Amino acid sequence: MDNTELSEDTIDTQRVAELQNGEWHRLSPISIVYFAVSSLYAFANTLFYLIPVVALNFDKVKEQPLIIVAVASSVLLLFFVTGVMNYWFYRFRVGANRIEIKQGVFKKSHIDLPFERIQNVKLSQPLYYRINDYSCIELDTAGSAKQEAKIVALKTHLAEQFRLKILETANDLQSVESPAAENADTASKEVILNRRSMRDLVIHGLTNNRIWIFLGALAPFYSGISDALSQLFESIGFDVEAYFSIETQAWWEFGLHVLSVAMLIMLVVVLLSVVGAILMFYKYTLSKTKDRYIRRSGLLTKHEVSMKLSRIQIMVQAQDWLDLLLGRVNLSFEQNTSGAANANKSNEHMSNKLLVPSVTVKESLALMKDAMPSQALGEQIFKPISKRYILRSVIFIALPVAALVFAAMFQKNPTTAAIFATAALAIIAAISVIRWKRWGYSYDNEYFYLRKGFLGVNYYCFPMHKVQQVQFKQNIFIRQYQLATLKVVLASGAKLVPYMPAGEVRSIINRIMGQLVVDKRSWM
Amino acid sequence: MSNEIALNQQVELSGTCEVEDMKLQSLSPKYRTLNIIVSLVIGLLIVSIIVLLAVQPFFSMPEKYLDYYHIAALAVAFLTLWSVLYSFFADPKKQYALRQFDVHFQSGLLFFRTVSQPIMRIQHIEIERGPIERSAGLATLQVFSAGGANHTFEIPGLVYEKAIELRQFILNHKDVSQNG
Repeated sequence: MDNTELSEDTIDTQRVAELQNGEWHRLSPISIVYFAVSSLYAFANTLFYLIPVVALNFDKVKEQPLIIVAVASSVLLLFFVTGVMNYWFYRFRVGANRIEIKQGVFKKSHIDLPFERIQNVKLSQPLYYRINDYSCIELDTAGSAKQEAKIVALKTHLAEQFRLKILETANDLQSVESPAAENADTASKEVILNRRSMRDLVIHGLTNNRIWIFLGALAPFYSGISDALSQLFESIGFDVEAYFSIETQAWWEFGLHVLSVAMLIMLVVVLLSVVGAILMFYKYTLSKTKDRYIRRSGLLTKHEVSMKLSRIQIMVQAQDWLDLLLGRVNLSFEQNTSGAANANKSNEHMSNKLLVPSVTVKESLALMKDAMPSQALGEQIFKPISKRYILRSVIFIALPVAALVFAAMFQKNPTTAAIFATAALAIIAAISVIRWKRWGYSYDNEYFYLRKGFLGVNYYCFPMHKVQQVQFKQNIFIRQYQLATLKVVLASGAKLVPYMPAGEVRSIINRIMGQLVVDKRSWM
Repeated sequence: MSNEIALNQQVELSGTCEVEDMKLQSLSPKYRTLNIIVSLVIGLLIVSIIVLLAVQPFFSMPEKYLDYYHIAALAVAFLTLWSVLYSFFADPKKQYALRQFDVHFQSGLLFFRTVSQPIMRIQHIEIERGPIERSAGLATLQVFSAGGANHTFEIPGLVYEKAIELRQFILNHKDVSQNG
């Protein structure tokens, strides 16, 4: 058993070495499927805007089914041909410490990427790659979106070895003092820190709205679904219009109908959200090598995201109100937002965030201790911000809204107008009191801690030596009360604490600036 | 090299100084004058276009335009006056300070703000000069960190030579060359 594994390993290292012989390689033909599917996706995305056009001419098209078949088959053929062409023009070459990729049918591109510029190596395995056990390697750089490189099809074993190779080389180039052999040895040892069971994923689906995963995938088929639904209603003899007509039924009956439909929709949404969570996080594992975290998950397409520990800028512990009831936490580690590369990706696919879904508070604290051992978020006593924060929202939001409500309803009935205006005032005031209660900050010698939220609560923790810029903000309304807003800019984004005592803001700024004078650690 | 010596004299070296006690330096006095002139020119230009369109004899404007053009002109004039007044009072409040390890920029008439940028976190520096700034011999120093484009540290209205000196000080700083 051991022997075969060992020999497989050596074969793999041999293959990686073969890959690195500096010749131009072609992908495995299975990549045709990948190219075809990705162009199909791109097409489906644009097709989304064509739906109205098709719908308008639907009757005409329906009379000639042959045309549909012909169009569909030629479109499919087109995708296949695009796939083949893309495959044909794709070449990659791996040198000792750089990778080059030539691709493109009409618009040619030549990417030349030195390993040390690679920030992240992601492996993903779409469903159709699983039969032959292939994977797609995505190489993220800190630079722009243009520089994103992909090796579309490699055997998974090979891809994993290759990933290790790239990361090791990048490490070696960055830290010359550590011997390469030892580095390579420890880098390949993975320890699993956390797994998520099916139960956890169901909880995650319940507490977090993951329905967008579903909606996103279904986007091209919206009109088809609504057609099918209306046909279904007709076939079971359910008259939607009568069900919701105000004229023919009592108001309570109408209200009941609306309520029942709303609850039905809620149920469907929750179910879909659970399904979405399972799609996304199936067989979730978070593992740790010497210097990075690796997240693997996915039911259909397996995703793998890795993040270097030293790149983590901030840790976020997010709890929605339902999470609070169930004692769960969404923990995420955020690294620098690498500009345009992430701009048009949805939350979960962003490589600057590594999410551990719905862990217990205890697990979350343990994971955070692992990532930043000297941090003590769990033991912090948070200081509140000034109560004038409530006053501000009452004066600048609640009062104007109430006045607007009153003015709009005054002509009909002054009494109801007054009642509604007071209600609006009370609700907004209550919201601001809750928000004020959630705000809190704390700091020790190394870290800054922040708490905020409304119904839920979020905790943030970041090391002060990773700060990029600090701002002291104040306006004439709060200056007389010696209050100020602290804004801290990190590579992962800015964090703000409003209505703190001005003296404390100054002392925090001095502390951060003072630390950066002596602490020359890099933020990366 | 000469730049470094010239600049060393401005760095505060008398023990550690807190951010609130820093000696702040003003921008070039030309900066305010320039801002006021630019506001006036743009305002006058827009107002005159609005008025000229109404009174010119070549083609007829819609009735609605003739009814309301003076309101638009007044509004633009008011905004111009506002921005002139704002420049007059707010521009002198814009100040900067350079310490051994960080740069600071303070501004604000009604909304005060002090931005502190550690030199160690600077990724690159630019000096920006539009045609108007060039004509007055002024420049804007832009400092970029990994905090993103929204958090670019900027000192406007610097005398060009001063901006070059500042840039050179930052570039020669050992934090940028060794630890950046």
